[in-house]
Amino acid sequence: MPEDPNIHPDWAAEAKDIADSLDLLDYFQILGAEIEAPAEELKLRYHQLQRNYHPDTFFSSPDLELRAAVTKIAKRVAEAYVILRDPQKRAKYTRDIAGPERAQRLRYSEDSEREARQEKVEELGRTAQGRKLWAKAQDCLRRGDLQGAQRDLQTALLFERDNERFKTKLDEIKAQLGAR
Amino acid sequence: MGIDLGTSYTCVAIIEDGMPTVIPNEWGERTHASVVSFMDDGRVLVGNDAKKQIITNPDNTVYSAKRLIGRFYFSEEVRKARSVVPYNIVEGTNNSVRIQIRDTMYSVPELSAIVLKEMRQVVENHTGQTVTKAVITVPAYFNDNQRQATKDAGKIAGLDVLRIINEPTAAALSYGFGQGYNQRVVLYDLGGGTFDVSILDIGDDVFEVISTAGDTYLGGDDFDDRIMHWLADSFEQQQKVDLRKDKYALQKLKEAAEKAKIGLSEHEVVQIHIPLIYTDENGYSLDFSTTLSRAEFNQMVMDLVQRTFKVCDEALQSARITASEVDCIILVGGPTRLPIIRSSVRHYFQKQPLTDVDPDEVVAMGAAIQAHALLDNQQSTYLLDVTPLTLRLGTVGGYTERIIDKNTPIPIERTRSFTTATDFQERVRIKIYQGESNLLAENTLLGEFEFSGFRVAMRGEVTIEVTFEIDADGIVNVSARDLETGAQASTTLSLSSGLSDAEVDQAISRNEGMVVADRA
Repeated sequence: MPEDPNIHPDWAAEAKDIADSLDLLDYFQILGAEIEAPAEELKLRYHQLQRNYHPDTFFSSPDLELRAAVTKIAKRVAEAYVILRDPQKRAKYTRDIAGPERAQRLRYSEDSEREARQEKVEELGRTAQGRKLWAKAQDCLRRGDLQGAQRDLQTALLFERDNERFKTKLDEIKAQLGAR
Repeated sequence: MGIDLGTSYTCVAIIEDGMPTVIPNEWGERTHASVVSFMDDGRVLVGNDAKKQIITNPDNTVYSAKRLIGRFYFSEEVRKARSVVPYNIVEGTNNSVRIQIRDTMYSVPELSAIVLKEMRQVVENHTGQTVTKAVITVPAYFNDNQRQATKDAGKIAGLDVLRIINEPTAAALSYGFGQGYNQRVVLYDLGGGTFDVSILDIGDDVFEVISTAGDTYLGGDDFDDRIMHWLADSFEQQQKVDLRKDKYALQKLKEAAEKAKIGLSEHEVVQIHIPLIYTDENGYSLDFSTTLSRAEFNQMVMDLVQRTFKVCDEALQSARITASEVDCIILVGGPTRLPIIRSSVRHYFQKQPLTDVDPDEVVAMGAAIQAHALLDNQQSTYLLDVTPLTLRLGTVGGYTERIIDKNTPIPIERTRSFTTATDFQERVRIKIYQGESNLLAENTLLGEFEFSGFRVAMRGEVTIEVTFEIDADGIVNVSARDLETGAQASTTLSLSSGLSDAEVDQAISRNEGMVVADRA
C-alpha cells in the first residue's frame, strides 16, 4: 500500500485504528462529547471531526486503506450527529446505552426506532378509552384528587393491561395514598 | 473544471490564478444553450447555434433534455414533454427514454454528453491543454437515477467525473469560499426546469447543508409557457386560429415568450412582434403584435411563484427554523432576475436577497472550486451535503419502509438484517425506492437487488446483513453479507432506467466519432 507523502504516517495509522474500533464506541465517544453536551457543542464537534476526516481531503491520496478508513469514520460521525441532533432519538439512545444491552445498542437501529415509536404511543395510551382515562386521571391529579386518579387509572389498565406508564403512575398514587 | 449542466443553459468554469473563472467560448458567450441540433448534412450543432435551429429544424433539435434525464418513459414529466416538444421521444428497453433523430436512437445521457463535450472543448481552447477532470452539478432534489444518468453523460463525454454536487450547494461554496463567514444562508435556486431551496450553515471553512427541498417540475420554462399560452389565446381571439396546433408557430411563440420574459426584468411593458407566424388557406401570411405589461405577467405566474414558497416552507420546517432566523438569501438561476421573484422573496424572508452574485454563473464557479479542492491536497473547504429524498425499501402489500431519511448528511450508511423466509432459500430480492410516501406506487424505483451466494439452510437460520450507502455523489450503493459466515453475498442490480456498461461504451465510441460543427 503506497503511503501518502502529505500525511504523517502516525496520523494515518491512528485513523486506521479509529476506523477499526468504531463498533466499540457510542455516539458520544465518537463525537468526543459528554452525555450532557448541549446541541451546539455536538455541532461544533461534528464540524471539527469532518475537518479531520472528510473523505474529500483524501480524495487524491494514493493510500487506499487510509481513504477507506476516513470514509468509514466520516460516515459514522455523520450517523452519530444525525441521531443526537434529534432530541427524541437522543433521549432514547442515551437511555439505551446506559442500560444492560449497551453493547448491542451502540448504533441506533430500526429496533430502537420501533421502540421509540412504541414508547410515544404508550405515553398517551394505545386505545381511545386508555387515552381518555389517562387524561381524566391527569385532571384529577391537578385538582389533588388522588382517589379519582387511582380509579381512572385502574379502569384504564382494564383496557391496556401492560401499559407500563399507567402502572408506574398508579403505583406512585397508591404509595402517596398509603403515606397519608 | 466545474460544469453547471442546466435545463436551458450550461456554463463552465475553472480555477485560474486561485480564482474561479467562467470560461467564455471564442465568441465571448459565457452561457451556452443546452441544445443539440442534428443537421441534414450530418453536422452537429451545440449551444446557442443549435438553439436557433429549434424553429427551422424542430424534429432534429433537442432541448431541455435535463427534464428527461434519469426518468422512466411512463413518468409524468416524460408524458408532459412528449406533448410539448417537437422532437421524437420513444420508449427504449427497461422503460427508458430514447430520442429518435431520423433513424438513430439516442439515450438522454448521450445527448447531454454532447453538451458536456462542447464545454470541455471551450476549456481546452482557452487553456491549450487537455482537460478531463470535472465536477458536474445537478439540482439538489435529483434522485439517484437522475444522478447516475448525469454521471453517465460525463463518462460518455470522455470526462473523469470527480464528483456530482448539488447546484445550490455549489452556489453557496462560490459565495462563501475563503470569506470566513459564520452565517445561515438560504439558496433560492430557480433554474430553467427545476426549483431547489437549500439551507446551509456556513462556519468558516465548513459548509453544512441543514435541509434541502425542491420541485423538479418547476422552472423558468413554466413561466415561458404561461406567456406562450397567453399569446396563443390572444391570437385565437383575434384571428380564430389556434396556433398550438402548429409545431412551427408554437416554437416561434415559445421563443417570443422567453424574450418577453427577459425583457420584463428591465421594462414595465414589452412589445411582442412575431412576423409571419401564420399562413391562411389563401396563402396570406399574418404577423402577430401585442404588448405585455409586468402586471399582466405577474398575474399569470403568481401561482408558480407561490409554489416556490411552499417548497421554502418545507425546507425551513425540515431545518426546524423560521424565515427570520436566516442571515442571508442568495438567488441562483436566470429566472430569479424577474422583479416578481425578487420582491416575493424579500417579502417572504423579510430581508433583501443578495444581488451581487451572478445567478447564471455562480453554480459553475462553485463546481470549479470543488473540483480544485478534490485535486489539491491543500483543500480548505468541507462540503457536508445531505440526501434530498428518503431512501426506502419495498415491503409486502405495496408499502415501503424508511431506511435513510431525507436531509441526512452524506456519505452515510445504514445496515438492515434480513432472515430467509423459506427453507433452502438461495436468493434474497429487495427493491429500493426514493420518495416521501409510505405507498410504494408513489415513490421512484431505484433498482432491484438480488443477493445470492450465502449459506443455504432452513428458513430463519440465515441472516443477511444488507448495507445501504449513499456516497458523496448522492448515489446509492447496496452490499450484503452473510452475518454468520461473513461471506460477501453477490449483488446484481436490474430494472433501473439507467444505461448498462455496454450501452455506455457504445455511446462513448459514438460520441468520440461525432464532430461538432464550427459556427458558420
